[in-house]
Amino acid sequence: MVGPDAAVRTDAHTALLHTRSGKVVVAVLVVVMSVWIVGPNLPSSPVRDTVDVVWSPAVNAGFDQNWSVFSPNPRTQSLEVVAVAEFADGTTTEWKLPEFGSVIGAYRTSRWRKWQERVRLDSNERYWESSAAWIASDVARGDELPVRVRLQRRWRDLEPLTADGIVDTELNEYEFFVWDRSDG
Amino acid sequence: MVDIATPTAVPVRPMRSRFDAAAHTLFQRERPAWPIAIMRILFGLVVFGWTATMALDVDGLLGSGALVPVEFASEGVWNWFALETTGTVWVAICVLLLASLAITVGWRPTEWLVLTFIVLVAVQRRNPMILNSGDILLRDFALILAFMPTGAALSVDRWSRYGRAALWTAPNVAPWGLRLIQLQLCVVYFFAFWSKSGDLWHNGTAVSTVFRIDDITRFESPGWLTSNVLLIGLFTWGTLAIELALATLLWARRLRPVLIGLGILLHLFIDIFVLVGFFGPLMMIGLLSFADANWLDRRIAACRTTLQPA
Repeated sequence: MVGPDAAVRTDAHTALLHTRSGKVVVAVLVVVMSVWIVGPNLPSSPVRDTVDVVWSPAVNAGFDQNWSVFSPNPRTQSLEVVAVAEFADGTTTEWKLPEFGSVIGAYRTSRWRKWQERVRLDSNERYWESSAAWIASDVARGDELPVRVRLQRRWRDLEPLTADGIVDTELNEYEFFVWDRSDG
Repeated sequence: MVDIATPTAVPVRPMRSRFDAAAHTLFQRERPAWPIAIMRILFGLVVFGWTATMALDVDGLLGSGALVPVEFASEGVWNWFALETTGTVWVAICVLLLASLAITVGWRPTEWLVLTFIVLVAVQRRNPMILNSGDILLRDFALILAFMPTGAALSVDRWSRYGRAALWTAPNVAPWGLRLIQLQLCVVYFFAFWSKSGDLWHNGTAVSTVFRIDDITRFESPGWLTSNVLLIGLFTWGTLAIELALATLLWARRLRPVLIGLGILLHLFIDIFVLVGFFGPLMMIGLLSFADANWLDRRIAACRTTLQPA
């Protein structure tokens, strides 16, 4: 070793291995972290239910694991959530998800699209009222809020690719929530 | 002279000694800190990008009047601290921006990485409706990187201690923390592979479906690609093969350069067509943990010689 490294002070992580107690600390850290990395990924089973107490503190603290990307199959629907806002004078405005471009803005867009993917589900019904209320404020004309906001989900089923190519399917639409200003 | 009459002439190391030697090589044998330092810099930049893009949507996604009300923020899940007002969200965002800069330049990075993990968890649990795998990976990497000597090279810490010239060299460091991020990476690839058990993956058409999901499209994939059975089969089964190979064969030194290249190509390919947030950039940073530190050291030394003639 030459130059500045000739008299360097060993970093704290490496220095841990220079003492017996430090080696024990490192061994414990490596074993615990390895269990926390692997354990939460194990498939659901009675065995896992019995031992998940070992890694549940880590998961609760935010050291989570979930790598099921496009699985077991990719979603077989294209979808969109739109809102139709009705004003007191009878006019309407359609609200759509904000778009921020395909390069840097894509990182913002992906979050809104993830919200869209989840909010449409009936299992997330508890989020509908607050979402509609936020959209109402987003489309407000100055101080004038819409009197009603209708949340609609639109989707198109994606048929699997076949040797004959891709089969087009029609667009479906369903109104899943109506927000009235008097209720909100 | 070889004593052929005595079988013990052939050296047989006891199992314990071989285990110790393997453990020493795996966790203790020191190597240049270049890959760790480069990972730290890139990770800091990703945290900055993640935070800056989030800052632009505080009102809609995280503030007190956001799409998801404060009372629904990760219901029933423990949190380090609650972000109940727009003001506290902004404080957390500012802390993350500061942390990302400190991590990037290498100013007490271990402490900032731990803080980053805690604040990221709090911010992400404010609105669980917008999270994807990249967000989870971001906080996992923050914690794991804290177990590595990330400030040992290319850092303000090193500059302030040993002077500017020290930025051209990297000390040798123990790799035990590096093994954790390598394990994390292999686990991600393995379970990403393992979970793809559906018929669309098995029959070789899944990638066509992925590319046709309009709401996760970044750049639209051409029709000739999504409808070409042979190409789609190649991409679908190729994805599975690469994920399995990265999960299992990255530990084979000879295969490593090819696999790292394939992994980077896979993530670039996905990132071009599909909105996956910061998952791709983070996985590519993770692949750097398998880079040959000694090779990097030689390359940088050669570069230094070229740029600094005696």
